[in-house]
Amino acid sequence: MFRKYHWSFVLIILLLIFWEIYVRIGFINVRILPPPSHIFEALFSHWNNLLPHVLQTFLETVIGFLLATVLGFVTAIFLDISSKINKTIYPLLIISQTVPIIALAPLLLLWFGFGILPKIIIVVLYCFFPIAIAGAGGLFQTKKQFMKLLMSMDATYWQGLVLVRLPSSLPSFFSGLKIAATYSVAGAIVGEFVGAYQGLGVYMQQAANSYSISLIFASIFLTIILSFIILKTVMIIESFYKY
Amino acid sequence: MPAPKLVIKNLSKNYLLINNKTVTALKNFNLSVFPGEFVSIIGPSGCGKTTLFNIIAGVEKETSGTISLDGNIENSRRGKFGYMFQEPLLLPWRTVEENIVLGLDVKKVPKAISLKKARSLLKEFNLEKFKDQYPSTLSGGMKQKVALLRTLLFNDSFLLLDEPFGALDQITRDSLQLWLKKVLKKFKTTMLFITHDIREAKLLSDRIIQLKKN
Repeated sequence: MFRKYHWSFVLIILLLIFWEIYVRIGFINVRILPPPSHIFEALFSHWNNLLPHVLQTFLETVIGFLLATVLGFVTAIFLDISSKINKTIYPLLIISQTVPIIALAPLLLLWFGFGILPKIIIVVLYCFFPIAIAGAGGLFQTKKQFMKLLMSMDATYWQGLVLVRLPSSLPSFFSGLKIAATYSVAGAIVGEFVGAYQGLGVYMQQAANSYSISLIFASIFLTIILSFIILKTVMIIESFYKY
Repeated sequence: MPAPKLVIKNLSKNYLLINNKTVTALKNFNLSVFPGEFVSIIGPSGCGKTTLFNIIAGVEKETSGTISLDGNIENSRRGKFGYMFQEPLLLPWRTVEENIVLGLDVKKVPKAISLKKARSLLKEFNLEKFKDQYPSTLSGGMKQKVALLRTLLFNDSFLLLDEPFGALDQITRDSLQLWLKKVLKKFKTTMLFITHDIREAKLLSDRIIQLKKN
């Protein structure tokens, strides 16, 4: 991977160096924008405090993402079974996506409290839609000729689904999963912002309240790492199915 | 004279267009095919050859007419023919041998048995070394061979081949025609074969039928 993306790494390092120099020269106040070295220093010196928050956010994200995957998968199949079901559910799905999830967060807090459940629900809400839509799209796009071939063999709907349509829709299913993976951690953090005992979202707010800008950046950095771990896991699983 | 295996009587097919006009693809088509016979159907493109095959195989519904198999009128004919389409339609995520057993998967034959059958078929036609390859690595001619073996393994008693060599170059085409003859010798197959190549039809068939555009 390093070989394939080495120019990207070079670019990131250059940007960090530019940022460091820009702040050090004094173009901007260190209290407003700390240089990367301060951020990493804060990250390491507060690591013991940060770790439980990171684990909390990661747990919420993983559970939510897995639930969204199962739900998205089942919904995609439902959308595929009959055009009647499709035409009944699809508009509702679109409408549901126009509801700002961030506005639902306080509501979920009222209903389910400060625990892990409302965060998981928010992650599911963020991740479910791209998975369901991409999966259903992949199923619809199965070449018509393949369906005719199966028909000539007198295959049932379920045989067609298992033997041809699901495997052929895996690439689009995975692209939905990858989009969802990049949203997932952000979803958990939105949930935590509104109210939680633990998690990076809470930590970021505490850091902001005490003007520890370095720690906000450190939390953002950890968010990126978490998203990347989930995205990379999806990509590794996908590579087993590449043909 | 033996009884015909397939009898098509007064078969017609109309398509309804969006503007409520109808297009006639087939009109009062009649045909009898005898056991073991190789019948070629030639005609210009758009004359309804593929529609005819789709209807025989039960993939499309006829507007009127009847189709009998072994003397009985069959309304649902799916699964009763080995139908090979113009394109090879190999599944890209399956190896050659896994592709060949697709029809047996549909028939719920256990994998151990179906793969054994596929391997002996591949061995018989000297294609054994390709068994673990994926379709993307095969030439056009090889893909058609694999598609034909898949069709044969599903049903070797009655085949419908729709221009199987249409997209191939002349040299590959010639060698595949000879290969097909060799393959058919092993099976007692009854065959309906679509082509627009009269030479190919003469080389392979017992009888040639010409379809005209309505």
